[in-house]
Amino acid sequence: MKIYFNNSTMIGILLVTASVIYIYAAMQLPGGANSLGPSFLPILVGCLLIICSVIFLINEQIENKKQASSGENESSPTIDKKHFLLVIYLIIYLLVLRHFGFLLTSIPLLFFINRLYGMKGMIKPLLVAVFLPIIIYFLFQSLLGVPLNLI
Amino acid sequence: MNKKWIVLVTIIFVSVFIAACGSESSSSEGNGEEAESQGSESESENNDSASAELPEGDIQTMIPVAEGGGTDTTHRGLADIVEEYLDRNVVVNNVTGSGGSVGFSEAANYEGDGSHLFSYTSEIFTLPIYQENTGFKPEDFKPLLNISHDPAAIVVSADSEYETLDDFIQAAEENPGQISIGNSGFGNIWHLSATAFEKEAGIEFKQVPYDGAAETVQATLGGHIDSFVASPPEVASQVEAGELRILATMAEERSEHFPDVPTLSENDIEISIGTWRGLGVPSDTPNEIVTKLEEAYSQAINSEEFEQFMDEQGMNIRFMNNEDFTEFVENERPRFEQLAQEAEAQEE
Amino acid sequence: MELLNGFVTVFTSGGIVFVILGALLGIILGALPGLTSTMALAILAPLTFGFDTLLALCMLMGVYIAGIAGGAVPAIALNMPGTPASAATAIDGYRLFKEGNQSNTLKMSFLVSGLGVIFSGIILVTLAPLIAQFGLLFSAPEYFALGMLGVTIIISISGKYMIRGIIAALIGFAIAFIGTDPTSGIPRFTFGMYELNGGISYIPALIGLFGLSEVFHFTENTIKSRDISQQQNKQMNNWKRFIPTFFRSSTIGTFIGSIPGAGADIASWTSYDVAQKFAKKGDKYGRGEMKGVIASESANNANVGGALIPMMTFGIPGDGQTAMLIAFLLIHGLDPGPLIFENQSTLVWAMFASVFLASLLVIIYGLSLSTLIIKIVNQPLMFIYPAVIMFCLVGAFAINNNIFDVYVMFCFGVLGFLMKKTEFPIPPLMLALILAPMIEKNLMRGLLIENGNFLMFFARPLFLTIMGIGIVMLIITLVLRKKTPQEV
Repeated sequence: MKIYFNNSTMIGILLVTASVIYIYAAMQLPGGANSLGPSFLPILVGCLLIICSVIFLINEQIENKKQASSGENESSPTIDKKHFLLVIYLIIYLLVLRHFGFLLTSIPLLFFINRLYGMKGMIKPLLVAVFLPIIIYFLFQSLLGVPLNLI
Repeated sequence: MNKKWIVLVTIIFVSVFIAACGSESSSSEGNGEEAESQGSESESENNDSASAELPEGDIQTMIPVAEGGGTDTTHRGLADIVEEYLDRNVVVNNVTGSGGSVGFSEAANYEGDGSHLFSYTSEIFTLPIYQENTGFKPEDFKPLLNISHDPAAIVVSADSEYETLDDFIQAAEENPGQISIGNSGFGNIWHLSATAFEKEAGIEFKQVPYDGAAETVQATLGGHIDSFVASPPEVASQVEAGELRILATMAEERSEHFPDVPTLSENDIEISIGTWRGLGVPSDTPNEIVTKLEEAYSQAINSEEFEQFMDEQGMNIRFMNNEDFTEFVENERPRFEQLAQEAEAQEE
Repeated sequence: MELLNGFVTVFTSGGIVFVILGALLGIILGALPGLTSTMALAILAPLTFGFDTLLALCMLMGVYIAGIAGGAVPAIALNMPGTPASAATAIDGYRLFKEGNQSNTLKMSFLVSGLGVIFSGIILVTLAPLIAQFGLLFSAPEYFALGMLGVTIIISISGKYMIRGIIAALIGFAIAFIGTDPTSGIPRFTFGMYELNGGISYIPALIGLFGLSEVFHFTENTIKSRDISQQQNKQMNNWKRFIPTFFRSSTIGTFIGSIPGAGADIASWTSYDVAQKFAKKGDKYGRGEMKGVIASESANNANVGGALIPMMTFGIPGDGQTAMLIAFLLIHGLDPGPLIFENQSTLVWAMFASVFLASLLVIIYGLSLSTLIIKIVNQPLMFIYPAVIMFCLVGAFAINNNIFDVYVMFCFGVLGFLMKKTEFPIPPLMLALILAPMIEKNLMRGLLIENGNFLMFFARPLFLTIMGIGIVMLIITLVLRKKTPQEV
């Protein structure tokens, strides 16, 4: 028997592993040994997750076999370089946000995001990057009383 | 890929650069955190030795609970009135999450220059006991003054078989752990009040946690629980309408609004417990600033305007100046810490 | 008759001006991502402290009602629901909007929002005392059953992959258990982070799952504006077929609203699920069906009339908005509760009259503003997406003024993106996040009350009824799924 190893298989294995860790963590909770302590529902959900993941894995194997026999090729989902960049930009943004405040961090973030979405040149992305945070800051801070200066 | 790395490095560089240039101008806006992160020590030293002047700009009051509750209403009402006496804009911010620890942890980072005040309640002592890691210590704060106090009250449905407190206690003695008593959430002040009552009267209830007083009112009206603990203002309208009955309050004196309701101490159960709502400042605030704030807030709390506001809400003002409140808090702290430990131990 | 007097009071006192103003502010604030109707009330209520009580009340009713209706705008236009209640709207609404039925979808959403409030308002003024008693019958076991009823919805919204939907829901449950256990106070899965002690807050999670995950679309047409096919959807030509959905959903919304603690979110999801059960041939739920928008929006707005019932008759707030309204009424010296109808009848009826006026205004504003909204949203995507990212960041912060929520929003954004890539449906996860606390708290609470005996739940007729409905709905779903050939 041939085992089909692709994205879905990876997800299934990942899910099973995660639920095992989850159940283990739940069993460490105090009072977990008793009937309906704080760990009862988490353990239940963890077990169901394992069962469902296994069903999912089996399903995917059957599907793959069908597809393989009919000669179709599953197109695995692609993740673009741009996706990684956006995530990295946002992580950097969130890391420095607390230290430099909303306006100072949002302007460079937006500039690079604008470029990422394909705005050409320097002036247009820069204008949007400067004015959008200022407008949002004014709107939320001054008019709506959301304390963005506390970020 | 190479090109992308250059972009990445540029972002970091540019943002650090812009920040470094910009933070001087922004620190003048009174944003303490930015000045701090820049490590401008000379500036903060100046702040410490500064005279008793409040810094320029708005005074921020942080409330660690959401809009709409008693604590929020009290502080918002007071903020409107104190502006006149402080000659400053007073802004109320709700920083909510994790039963208050998010807000208090935020407050632990405030600079003690008088520009940041926050709600000072018994949760400051109880939260560190329930939660493994809170991000603040009670020592990070010091009490400024107290605004109001609402005692705990034992409430039953109007058609309940328990007419008086004695009936209630007797029933609890006969059926230990069978009479259900609702509270507004695990570890909540009303949970602790019920625990204190159990301990002092030597009885045992079935404590049922709900989310907030409204849910306990509903469950009692629907006959799903026998009784609950709440503050008198939280049940005033249903009591006046004859749907709920207050058996007793856990106060030293009878309430002005409900003069017919006895206190527990009249029944020889010596408990006085309830929610007190005060204001606090970071513990490194210089005394001159504390005095200055105390002066303005005392005037505001004792003003006719505030009295009228609190009366409309059915809440009680209990003003305590800095000295009295500090002493009061010192006495309350061990008691609340002990009650919180007991409440937690009951569960395990 | 009293209601008529109420209208007279509102018009003669000038209250109508304040309703108009309040509704306008409410619709704008509600439409801003991250701002809910509750927050709109919190922001605007202090402005009214100086006003005459009647005028202030008129304005706040306008804000309250229009704020909820406005919440559908970001859900439909940006797939970024600002409240759990409008998440169900986003499922079909965003699809329809993208497919080119922009004007129709928004207008329909406002129309049924307004009509939903009117429907529930009529029930409010005629049947309030009766319904209030019904709400009180609900105890912990019934709320638990209501939550389980919600779980059956997961299967119907899972789309074509049932097992993936169930897995998504289970992940949602697993995430929802993070935080302090409500019954024992023991922190679970917090990894020593105090910010997690209170659990994951819904709205930042929602903004991430639906909103931020959306901006990962780097399609070639980010420079162009959205590809709008101007062809009119055939669904619109036959408006009569929407009528049963509307009445069914409004009834569900009103009844669920009148049960304190079961808010607009439960109302809209339940109604969406019921609508699916009644689906006719050719209905495309989950893939852009106008009835889906109608079901969700009319139910979450009809919830208003329902929520006002326990608030006015018992003084019990059913949700955040009514809690704000009670605090506000107290400031003006009014005590919501059984006595208010006797002591303050003029004000009460004026308030009910402004409910009706505000809902009419929602329709009027909605029909006239939707062109403007569409104009804004139809800017090229390279302008829209950066703005959406900013709104996601600010909106997540604005809910609790808590920076940690922004991190939560980001993590859920990435999770949502990965789920989309791997074809796991997002709505089941969202629903599980909403339902898990309700199910767990009430299960434990019920067991406490019944001394740990689960079988005692079955001695409660109302519990059995709700569970019965759930089982019937589950069977219908499974049967329908078998019958209709699955599209690939």
